[in-house]
Amino acid sequence: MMRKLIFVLACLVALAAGAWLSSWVQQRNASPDIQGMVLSEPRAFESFRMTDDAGAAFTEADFQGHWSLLYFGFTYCPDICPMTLAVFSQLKNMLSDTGRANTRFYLVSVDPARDTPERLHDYVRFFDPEFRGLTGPVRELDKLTAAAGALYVIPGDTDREDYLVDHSSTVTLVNPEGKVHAVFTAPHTAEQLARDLTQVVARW
Amino acid sequence: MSAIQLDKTVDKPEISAREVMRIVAVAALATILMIAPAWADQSFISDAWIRATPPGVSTAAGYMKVHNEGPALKLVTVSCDAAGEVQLHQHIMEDGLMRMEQLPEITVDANTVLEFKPGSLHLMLRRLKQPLAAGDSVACTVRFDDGSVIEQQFSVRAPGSSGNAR
Repeated sequence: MMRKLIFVLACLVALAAGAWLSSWVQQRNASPDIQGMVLSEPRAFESFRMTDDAGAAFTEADFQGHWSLLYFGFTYCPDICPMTLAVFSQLKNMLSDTGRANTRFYLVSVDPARDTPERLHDYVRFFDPEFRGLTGPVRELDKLTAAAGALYVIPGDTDREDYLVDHSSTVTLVNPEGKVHAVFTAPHTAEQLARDLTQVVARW
Repeated sequence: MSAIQLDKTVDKPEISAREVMRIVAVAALATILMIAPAWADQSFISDAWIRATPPGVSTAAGYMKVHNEGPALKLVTVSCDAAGEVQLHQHIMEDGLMRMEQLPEITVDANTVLEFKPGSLHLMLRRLKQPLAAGDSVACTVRFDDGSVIEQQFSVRAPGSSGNAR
């Protein structure tokens, strides 16, 4: 009788533990309710060498130790790029002090022929003095866009001084291990990005 | 006081045919005068603004609301003092790419408001003659296919004033 009772109790404890464990695992793995998606497996960058807007070399290792938000755009872009950088600037101001200290914002140029480090420097700082710009040869740039799932196409005549570049409107989140962690889809608002970023970072 | 005096003068009911004609003529004129501005003002523009430009940038985006209170008409050209050229642009999402497409003209349906806004329909100002700073004002001319023209001042606003990125 006693042994039977112990057996039943043990079963119940095991069941409860199993239920708790599975709900815990589910909670950890469940994709958060964000406008975009979290990668099931964070994606590493192929080793690249870009130049930041201060003229210094920038590699995948420079993404480590903090969260990074990447937007792929270009300085000649009149509408969506300034709009997104303005959203970044609002977002930065909405983050907590810790969040702000742990998050960096980048404009990655999809127009390296015109976006020199100097030009990017003036451009990104117009929106926020701490924003950074990255530029580099197409083969290096393509390593970033490939991992980030971003696309760009120059459809027109590049001889025209203000040709345009078609590009992804997504915002890519890189985690402190330097891997692509999530992609947020447009339309972006500072409020939405702040909510999504907080959710994703909380599950890290 | 005057109302009482008026009442007294109305005591005489006889009005000559000539007087009737005069009243009709005045009434007709008044009606025309009241309607005329509405004819000329079938469409108007509100919320006209241009985003301030970052250093070294020679393009800018402009936005506005075109109110059409008459029959459908087409917006054909926009020109601004500050820019070498102004194009009508629409953002199109295609295969995950945000693509800008230039439109030759834009139809404004009867009795509707056509909104130019960030991430959507916008004016692209090319070959800016000078940087545009928040607080500046830019004079632009908007032309329609029916020959009507609207002279509109666009105010230059800080880059963050767009609010939502749509």
